[in-house]
This record gives sequence, structure tokens and C-alpha cells, in this order.
Amino acid sequence: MSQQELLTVEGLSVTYYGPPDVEAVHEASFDVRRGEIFGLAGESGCGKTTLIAALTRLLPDNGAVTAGRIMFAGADWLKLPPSEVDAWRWRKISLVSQSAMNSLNPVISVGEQIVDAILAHQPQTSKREAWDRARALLRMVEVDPKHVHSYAHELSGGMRQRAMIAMALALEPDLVVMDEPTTALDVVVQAQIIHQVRTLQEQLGFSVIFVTHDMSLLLSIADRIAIMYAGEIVEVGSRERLNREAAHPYTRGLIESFPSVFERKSRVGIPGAPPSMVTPPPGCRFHLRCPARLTMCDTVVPEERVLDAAGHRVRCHLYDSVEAIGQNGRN
Amino acid sequence: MILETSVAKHPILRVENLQKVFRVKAGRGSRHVHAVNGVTFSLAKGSVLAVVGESGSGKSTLIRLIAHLIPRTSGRIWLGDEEVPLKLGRAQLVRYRRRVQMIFQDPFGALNPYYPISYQLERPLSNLGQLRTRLERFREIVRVLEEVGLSPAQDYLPKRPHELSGGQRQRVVIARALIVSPEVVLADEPTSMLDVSIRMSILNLLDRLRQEHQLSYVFVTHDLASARYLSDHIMVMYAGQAVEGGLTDAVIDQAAHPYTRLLISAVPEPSREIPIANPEVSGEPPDLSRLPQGCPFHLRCPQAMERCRQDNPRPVSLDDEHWVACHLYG
Ligand SMILES: Nc1ncnc2c1ncn2[C@@H]1O[C@H](COP(=O)(O)OP(=O)(O)OP(=O)(O)O)[C@@H](O)[C@H]1O
Ligand SMILES: Nc1ncnc2c1ncn2[C@@H]1O[C@H](COP(=O)(O)OP(=O)(O)OP(=O)(O)O)[C@@H](O)[C@H]1O
Ligand code: SF4
Ligand SMILES: [Mg+2]
Ligand SMILES: [Mg+2]
Repeated sequence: MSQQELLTVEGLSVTYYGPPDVEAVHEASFDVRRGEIFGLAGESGCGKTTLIAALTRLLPDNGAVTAGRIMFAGADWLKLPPSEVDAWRWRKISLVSQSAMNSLNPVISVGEQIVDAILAHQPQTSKREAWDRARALLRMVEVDPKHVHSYAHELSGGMRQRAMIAMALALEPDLVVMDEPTTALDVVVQAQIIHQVRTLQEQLGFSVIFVTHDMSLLLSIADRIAIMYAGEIVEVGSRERLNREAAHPYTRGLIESFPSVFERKSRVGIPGAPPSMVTPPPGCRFHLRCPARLTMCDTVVPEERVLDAAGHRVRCHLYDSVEAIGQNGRN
Repeated sequence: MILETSVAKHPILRVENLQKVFRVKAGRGSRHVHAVNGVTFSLAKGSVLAVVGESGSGKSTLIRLIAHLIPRTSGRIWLGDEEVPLKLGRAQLVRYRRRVQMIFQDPFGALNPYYPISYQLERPLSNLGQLRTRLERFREIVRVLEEVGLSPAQDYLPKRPHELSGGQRQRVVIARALIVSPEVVLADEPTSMLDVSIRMSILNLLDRLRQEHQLSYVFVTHDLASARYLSDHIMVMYAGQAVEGGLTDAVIDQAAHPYTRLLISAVPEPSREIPIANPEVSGEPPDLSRLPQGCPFHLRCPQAMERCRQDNPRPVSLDDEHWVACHLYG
């Protein structure tokens, strides 16, 4: 792993035990570099939240990592004992969860929640300092610091989401994972929050994993993007690359699924619907909906190929003839 | 329906100065929520009017008023040449519903979970009592299912809603609206609950049905890009008022109202400068039970002038088919 990379995920699989058992993530590999916004896109149920839960070591009781490895900030992250994971939480990695807006504690003021998080991890901090920090954090995400004493129900959705982001940043983590942080918000509020995240990230230098089903959003904010389909990462590439020449037919279809506000151009979307995760299709998981499908796609699982030195990677038989670049497909 | 006033022959639907005030209990007293404040528009046959705006701007309330799901506080509605009275009797309502159908956002909630698709489609038909025999009704159901792309229809007839995907369910909801051959379809965010890869197929389906049957839609969406895709006219709502409207291309390409411009600047677009331009405008829409004096947008408007704090601007025409309600334009 080079200096650049903060997080490296290799061959990660996650199963929820049923019945029926669901393998929600299948052999996912990607890395997140220092100081970048890494986007993770895919449709409902494709396994985004599950992947994030495994990354943050917050899988529910019936879920388990069945294969793979995660290197995070130099540590073999999945092997760290829970006590150490707890010590790293907030300080090295923090999560703004999918229902974050509604996960503020309703009976404790916003400020107290931030103060509690700070004191739990930095017991040497005085109460007074912690409250000052809470106010400064709110100011940083452009929430009037008078709201330290407000309760969740007194804040708008956008303000609650900002408060959650402030909390995630309270202990200056290296990696902030945001699961659909703006999906429930209006576009104007979304744009304001994203601008904020981007500005803070440039100032403070943390990395962001930004999860969303909104491909057009990622194409305008992320540095690099991973596309997930039915539990698998089917393509990873830079924003420019995906914008210009996405390789995987699913990625192309997903991009085609978003009309543009600036031009009226006919769009087709993708035929069919995402498959069941209980019995994913054989061969390429996308073959039932793929306009470019080859005969072998029905039965043979495509291997991942690296398309360029910048690490543009794809899992699709159309690229079988591409020679591997570097060892084990990563450079 | 009583024919009260003959208006222009062209619009299939026209509403004038529609208003809805909800009375909400608040402590011992009550608050008045001004959800829709004097909205006027007309819809030509075979065309699509998109209604866009932020959450809470009154989009759903507006089309519920038109659908006669909730009573309007004031204002007038015409369907074709006939004025629709404030109150409709049972028989009148059935006739009205035949001509004006609604498609809801949530394809899960819109269908009865206990009944098969065949039943859900037969009910509106037998309610109307036009097709007398079961065989006639059955043929019609099959035809409509095929038309919305659920083919072969026989496979879908016995299924219950939970056995269908979200996109298939929304197709059933569309089939149910179409089966009574309406003239106007009121669609409230018909794709926002669907998976992104299947949204386009629903928009394309709506577009094809419009062309083939000369249907007219009022299409409510918070997504400007979908509005551009499907509509020929657009109306932008803010705090219960229509603030700008006209031909879709004109309103988006030559947006005049500061709020419309703000909305457009916030839409994520792959082709656009990164990061998304910071909309200079902060703040949130006003409390509808305590609307500010003057222009409803003045508290957030970067160009607000003294006048804006005093008077609510009246719509002025910018072009043949483009108007705006903003003091910057006279
Ligand atoms: N606790 C759980 N137990 C069993 N199965 C689960 C559990 N959580 C999720 N799943 C299943 O795992 C799959 C992936 O779900 P996940 O929540 O990761 O998807 P997602 O991509 O985040 O979707 P969304 O966009 O809707 O949030 C789905 O098929 C889901 O039904
Ligand atoms: N039955 C009701 N009683 C009281 N207030 C209501 C009622 N229905 C709607 N409102 C209020 O009217 C306003 C407009 O709501 P409406 O649902 O029409 O907005 P919308 O533009 O459709 O928003 P969204 O994009 O979130 O669907 C909101 O402030 C809402 O709280
Ligand atoms: S592997 Fe085949 S089916 Fe899968 S995306 Fe590529 S071409 Fe399509
Ligand atoms: Mg999720
Ligand atoms: Mg609504």
C-alpha cells in the first residue's frame, strides 16, 4: 500500500444470516486515498450500506464478513479488537449514517451530544472547552451556535444533517463515511451542504466516502467513484474518466438514467429491474439487463481488469482481452 | 357537471386563483397554513405542465385541490368548458374522476395489498359502470396492462402488489389511472420512489401515452431535470405561490426569478464546474402560517429591494410564453 492510500479493501464479502442467507457484498475491492472524496453509487438494495457497515465495523448481529481484508491507516482493521475499534471511532473514522437526520437523540440538546462525544474520547478536555468546541463546530457547518441548546425537533432537516456532520468532524477523523447524507434534503440545501463538506475537507484534509444512488451528484463532486451492482463493485474510476468514457455497461446505463437540466435529450435508462440478492444471477450479475451481453456472460463470472495506470478498473467480459497492469490488478 | 362559464376553448384544464388554507390546531388556538396562495394556470390538451419547487411549496396540495381530494378554500377550476363547482355530489364526483385521474408518488401505498392486480384494475371500471360484462372488462384490463408494458398481461393479473417490483407497481398504478380513459392525469412525483435505473422507463412511458392518447398531465416533481425531460410548460412554486412560469425551455434557459435561478444552480450536473457553485442564498422557505409581508422570497433573495419587503409582486409577462412575479421586472 502506498502512502497515498488511507484505506484498502480487498475481496470483501459480507453475509446476512437468514433464513434466507443474503450475501449482500461479494468480493469488493477498492481503495480510498488521503484527502479525496470517494463516491460509492448503486441502486437500492445493492449493498452500499452493508459495505459501509463492514468498513465502519458496525454490522448488525446477523451480518458477518466472510472473506477479505481491510487495511486502514496502517492497521489490519478487521482484526483489531472491539475495544481498539471503539477508541478509533470518531478519532480516525466516523459515520454519518443513512438515517442520520433522525438519529440525533431527541431528549438531549445538540450541543450536549457533541460534548459527550468529545469527552468520551478526550477525557482530558474540560467541559468548558468541549462546549466551546461544540459551538465552533456548529459555526463551521454554518449552523448558528445558539443552537447548541436546541433539540432535534427544533431544527430543520438540513440543520439536523449539518449538526450530524459537525459531530462526525468533532474529533478530526481521517475518514468520514457519509451514507446518503443529502438524499432526504431539497436540492438547494443539498448543494449548500456539499459545498460545506468540500470546503471543510480542503481545509482539514480528511477523506470522505460519499454513498448515494445519485450518479449525477457523484459525477459533479467526487474525485473517484465506485459503482456497485447486486453486491459487487463493477467499476472504479476517476470522475473525469467515468464522465468521459465509463467502461461498464451498467455504469453507462446509470449515467443514461439521469436526464440533464440543460438539454432535452432522449434517455433510455436500463431495462428490467435489479435482481434479488438471495439468488443473484449466474455469470455476470448484470447480464439479464445488459445491452452489450456476450454468450459467455450468462454463465462465466467476469474477472476484474485494470484499464489504465490510474487504476480504472472494471468487471465485465467486454474487457477480457485487456492485459493486466501491475500485480494483482493494482498498481 | 354544471356548465357555468364558457371560457377559452383550448385549455383542457384551467385553474384561477386557487387557494388553500389549512387550519391546524396549535395549543389552545389554531394556526392557518397558507399552503396554496392564488395559483392560476391553464393546461392545453396533449401537453405537460411541470410543477416544481422545494419541499413544502404546495405542489401536492395544488394537485389534490384539482383532483377534488381536498376542498379548496377559494378559486375556480374549469375542466374543458365546464366550471367545476366547489362541491361535487356523489355522481358528479364519479364523472369528474373519470376525466381527471391521479398518480401518486408511492406505488406501495397506492395499491391495496390484499387484492390481485386484476381486481385493482376492475374496480374503477365497474365503478364507472360503462363496460357491463366481465369479459369486456377483462379485455380492457389486458389491453391496458400490455399498454403500460406489463406483458404478457396474464402473468400479472393474479399477482398481488408485493409480488411486483417497484417499477412494475408504478406501471399498475398508471394502468389504473388510464383504464378509465381520463383526459387529465395529475401525477405527483411518479418516479421519485423508484430505483434510478427504472425511472426513465416510467417517464418515457408517460410521454408515449401522452402522445398516443392526447393526454394532458400536471406533473409534480422536485427534480428540474425530469421536468425538463417531460414537460413543455413549467411553473415554479415558492411558499404556495407560483413565482415563474412559461415554456419549459425558456424558464430554464432564461430563468428570471432569483428563486428559479437558485434552484437551477443547485441541480447536480456532471458537465458543471466542481464543486457545485455555492448558492449564495442561505436560509430556508418561510413558515406558511406566518408568511412575511411582501415577496415570499425576499428573506432569502440576494437582490431584495425595499419594495420587496412591502408588496407581493404581481406576475408580469416577459415574453409571449414566459412570465415572472418579481419586482426586478417592473
Ligand atoms: N440486517 C439485515 N439482515 C438481512 N438482510 C439485510 C439486512 N440489511 C440489509 N439486508 C439486505 O442486504 C441487501 C443490501 O442492503 P443494503 O442496505 O446494504 O443496500 P443499499 O445499497 O444500502 O440500499 P439503499 O440504497 O436502499 O439504502 C439487501 O438485499 C437487503 O435486503
Ligand atoms: N392536511 C394538511 N394539514 C395541514 N397542513 C398541511 C396539510 N397538507 C399539507 N400541509 C402543509 O402545506 C404545505 C404544503 O405542503 P405540500 O405537501 O403541498 O408541499 P409539497 O410541495 O408537495 O412538498 P413535498 O415536495 O415535500 O412533497 C406544507 O407546509 C404542509 O405542511
Ligand atoms: S459482462 Fe457481459 S453482461 Fe456483464 S456487463 Fe459486461 S457485457 Fe454486459
Ligand atoms: Mg443504504
Ligand atoms: Mg408533495
